[in-house]
Amino acid sequence: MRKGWLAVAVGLILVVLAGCGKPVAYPLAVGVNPWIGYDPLVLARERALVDPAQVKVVELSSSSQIVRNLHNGVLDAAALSLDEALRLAHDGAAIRIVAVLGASAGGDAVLVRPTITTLSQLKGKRIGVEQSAGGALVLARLLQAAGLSHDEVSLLRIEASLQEGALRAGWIDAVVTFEPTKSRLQAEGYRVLFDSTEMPDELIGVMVVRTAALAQRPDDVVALLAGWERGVEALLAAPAAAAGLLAPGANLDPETYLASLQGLKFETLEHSAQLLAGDPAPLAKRHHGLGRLLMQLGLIRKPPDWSALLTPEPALHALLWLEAQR
Amino acid sequence: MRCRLFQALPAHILAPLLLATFALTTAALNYFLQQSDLRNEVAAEQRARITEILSTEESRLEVQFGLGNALEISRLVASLGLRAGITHALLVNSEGMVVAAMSRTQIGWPLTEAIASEPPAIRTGILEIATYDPKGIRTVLSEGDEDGLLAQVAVYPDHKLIVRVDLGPSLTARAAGNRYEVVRETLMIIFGAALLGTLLHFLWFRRTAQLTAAVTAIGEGHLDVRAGLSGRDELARIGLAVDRMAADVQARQAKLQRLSALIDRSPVVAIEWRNTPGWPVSFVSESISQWGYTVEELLADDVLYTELIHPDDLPQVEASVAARLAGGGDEYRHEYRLRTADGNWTWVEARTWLSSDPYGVVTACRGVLVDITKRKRAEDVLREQADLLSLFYDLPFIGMAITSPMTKRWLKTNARLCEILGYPREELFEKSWVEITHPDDVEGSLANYERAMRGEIDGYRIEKRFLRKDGSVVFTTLDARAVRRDNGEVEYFISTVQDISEFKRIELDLQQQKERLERAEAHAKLGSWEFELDTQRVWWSPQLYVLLGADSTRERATFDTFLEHVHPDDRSCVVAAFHELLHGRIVDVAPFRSSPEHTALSWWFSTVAVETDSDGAPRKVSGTLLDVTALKHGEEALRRLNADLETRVAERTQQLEDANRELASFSYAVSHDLKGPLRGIDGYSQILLEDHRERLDDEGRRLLANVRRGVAQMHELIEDLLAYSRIERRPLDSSVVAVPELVHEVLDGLAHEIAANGSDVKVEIPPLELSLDRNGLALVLRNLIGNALKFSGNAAPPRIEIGADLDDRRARLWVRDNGIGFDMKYHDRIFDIFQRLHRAEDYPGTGVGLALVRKAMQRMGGTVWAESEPGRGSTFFLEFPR
Repeated sequence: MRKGWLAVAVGLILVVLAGCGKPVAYPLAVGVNPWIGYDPLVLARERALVDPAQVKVVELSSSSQIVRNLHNGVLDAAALSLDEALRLAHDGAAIRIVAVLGASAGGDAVLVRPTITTLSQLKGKRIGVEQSAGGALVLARLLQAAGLSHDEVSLLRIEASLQEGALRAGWIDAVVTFEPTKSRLQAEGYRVLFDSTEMPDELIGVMVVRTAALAQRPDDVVALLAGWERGVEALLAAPAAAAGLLAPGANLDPETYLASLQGLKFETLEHSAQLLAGDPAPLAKRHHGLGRLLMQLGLIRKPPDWSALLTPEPALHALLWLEAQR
Repeated sequence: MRCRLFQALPAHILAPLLLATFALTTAALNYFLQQSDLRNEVAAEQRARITEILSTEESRLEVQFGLGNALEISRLVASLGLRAGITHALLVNSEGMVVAAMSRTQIGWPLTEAIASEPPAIRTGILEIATYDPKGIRTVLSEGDEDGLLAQVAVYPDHKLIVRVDLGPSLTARAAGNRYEVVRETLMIIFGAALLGTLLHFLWFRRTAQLTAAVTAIGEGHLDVRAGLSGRDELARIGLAVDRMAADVQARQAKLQRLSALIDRSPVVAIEWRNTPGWPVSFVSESISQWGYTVEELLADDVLYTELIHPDDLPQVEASVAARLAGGGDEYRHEYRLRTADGNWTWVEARTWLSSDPYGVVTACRGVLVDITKRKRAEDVLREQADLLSLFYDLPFIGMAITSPMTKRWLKTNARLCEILGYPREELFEKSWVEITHPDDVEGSLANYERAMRGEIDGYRIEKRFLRKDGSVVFTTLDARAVRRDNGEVEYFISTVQDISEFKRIELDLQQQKERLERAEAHAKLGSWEFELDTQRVWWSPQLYVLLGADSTRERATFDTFLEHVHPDDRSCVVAAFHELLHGRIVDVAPFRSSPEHTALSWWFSTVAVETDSDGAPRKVSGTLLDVTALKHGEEALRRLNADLETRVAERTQQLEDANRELASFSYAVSHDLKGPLRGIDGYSQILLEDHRERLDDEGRRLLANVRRGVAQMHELIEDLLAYSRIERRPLDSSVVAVPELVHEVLDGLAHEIAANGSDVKVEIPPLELSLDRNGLALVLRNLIGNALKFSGNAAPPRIEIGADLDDRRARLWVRDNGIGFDMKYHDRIFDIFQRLHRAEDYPGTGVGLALVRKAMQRMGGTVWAESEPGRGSTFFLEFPR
């Protein structure tokens, strides 16, 4: 009989515990840098193509800020260039690449003062470049095309958001930069001397997710990728309307914004999943050279472990989810 | 009502229930107190946090304003999204335009329009805080927006940053923390209550339950149960008192039970009747069950004791009781019959005494009943025995008498004795038994009588003859017993006398029969014996002693004695047969000899029979021994004659075999030797024909050709003869032969002839394997198929069938053709060597083929025969045993 009363008491406690067991759900925090190749995600947020209760898209000033916040656990996911992702993984961050977002097809460029007209004129000039692998990669290809060595130019490591000012101020003669800065500088009369059309599919953006977030909140990751896919679709379906919405945040007028979109190539989620699947995955095979370059530049010390880094499942789930939604 | 409910609940339930209720009420109170102040606490915390954030952001934005870096400014505002809880961040310039925001759609619009799509509560809150004068940091808890905390900071030179923080998640997290805390406290309280409950359980409730259970059990009659409470408190003392009470009651009950058991198990029935008409029973002990009644049955109101008393005995009992009641006397006894429950009657002895009240009125009778049926029955038996004895005395089968030890006269006799002895009873009383005893038996009778008189024996049994009154002799067996007085003197003799004259006559007949048998045995020289297995007793007929040459007076009839008289060489087989006999098995023993030590050498033949008991186990063995010496001698003479004959046959056979072998060797040698000259003749003929052709005319050449043809024929004949002879001499090589394959092999060998003949050969042989000489069967098939081809050459078209069938015992093959056939009267001839039915010109051949076939078949253990009719073809059959 006494056991019966004990059971009643335990039951009451369980009811109370059930009440407090529900965790406070914060949305998945996703960081993007100013590269307009990631704007479909911003568009998805603005157009409510992704549930703000599941995914929070935060625009940050630079990749370095993103990497820092990812390391600190403030961000759960981020859009990064592949080289940044490889470096991050090499530095010990537990991350996975869950999607290939797009490639730069002219969106990255080297802009120079109007007086410089040929590549060979760069000899002895000062070039501003971000402390990133993307910057290093474009620089390497530039020097290769110009037939110059590192010693024959003067390099200034400078954050992306500060590059414009530095060029205008005359501190540097050339800058390795990307959209939207590129379009803005172009509009100001600076000349594009070299751009990523000459290095197709070398500069790509990927979606990186912290391993812990992927394990604990797979549904949110799927929602993120589905939001990206919807954002891309919305952008491509009505570019002008999207430009009107997104341009002010990029400090561009809508026309320039539209033009800058030409330098970008967006990947569909389906192709993205194909690039990530298999062992070795097509992405790993295609960017084997990037790993080597990063090692040559001393940015990483050992080849990337692609198989531990790539996972196509979230993209596949997002595709299925989207299919179900339609 | 409520009080009654509490009283209905046992304490061990009520106490934990009250404790639990107390614990839960305390916990719930605590929780509600904490919840009521939650929002204010969270708002205060968030206020402090947002103030810190905004002061940092203010500095960073002012730096970027200073640098004129519009992009960085907008990114700084947008990155406020990283901060937990911040849902809106808007940087508004002095003209009320949004220059940077967390949401890009809001950038570049007047504040009112930028937030037009926001929910009204949020919109109102933001617009309200935007109206404040931008100096320093200000935070406001919006009235309409319950979960919202609004903050504003002025950014040099003329901008203001408006931020909204959602308190919802913080509130939820804090509430969850509070609940966790409450649960923890509740658990602690419940744990404490449980601890207290447990303590109470062990100190009080468990012992109370123990005491309650013990008192309940004692109340139900389980007097051996004890509360067994330890301690010195009130409960323990109550327990102790209960235990003492139970022990006391138990002791008294045990005493009563012992007494009751004693009465119940004794054959005595204790009983009490009421002194009212019919004497109803007011008490009776359990031992009444010996008569099939239960106590309850007898105590029933409608049962009257008088109805249980036998009607014949009741008046006497009633009279006696009435007398006692009237005249007094406390104790009295009766014997009467009482009806048992199954309707039978049992004799009882009732000892009764009266019980009176203080006024002398008899209120009850008490007594005991004892079953005396056995005693009554014993008395009846005694009486019956006495009657029976007198009956026996007058039985007409046996003579009985009482004689005086002093005068030896007959004192008392029965009718049968008078009849045996042929005297009337009165005359017999006048004589002593000595007077009528046969004179030859008097001495023996007296000797026994004297011994009995001296007290050496109590009686004796003898066979003796009496002389009847008519002078005839009667054979009797007499059994006399001395009846003595206390001092040992014989008072009289009781004798029984049985007439055994008839037995004596049969005995005599038997004796005569025995003598005749012995005489017959002597004539036949046949002795007989018996051996009883269980007693090991052996009996030999007198003739057996004679046969064995044994002395029946000296030698005992045993198996060992018998063995001594058997010839030492034959003893072992006799012993073996005897041992088999002991197990009930009869073994035929060949005639055996006597031992020369005891008799002249004789041959004996024995027979044995076993008798078994009802279980089939051997009981007795008997047998005879017959002297067969004369027979044996005759047999010996016959055997010698036979042996002589066999030797002579063997010699003849050897001579024939030798002759045969020589003949075979000769024919082989001749055939072989003939081949040499033949080859010469053929060779020289050929040389002659080739080298001297021109010198020969046509006739010469024709004759030479004839010579060569003759030589070829001769060669063929010799080859066949050699083959025939080889068949005789060649050792057989037996192996498993697949017959169909062999047939096809032979047909392949004859393919040329078959084609030349245009024969249609049909083979229908089932899968068949035989164990025989492969070359032999091949030779047979070659010859038979060759013959078939040869003799069917003229048929149109020639047809040959080869077939086989088989059963469990044999396999049969046949070769059938549609050739010229033959008359069956020549059937045996065709298998003889050199026998031909046709001219060699018509059908070439040597006449050896079928002889070879038969010989080969004989050697392989098979047979060959043929069926045919002239002009209708032939069938040759081969049969092999399987």
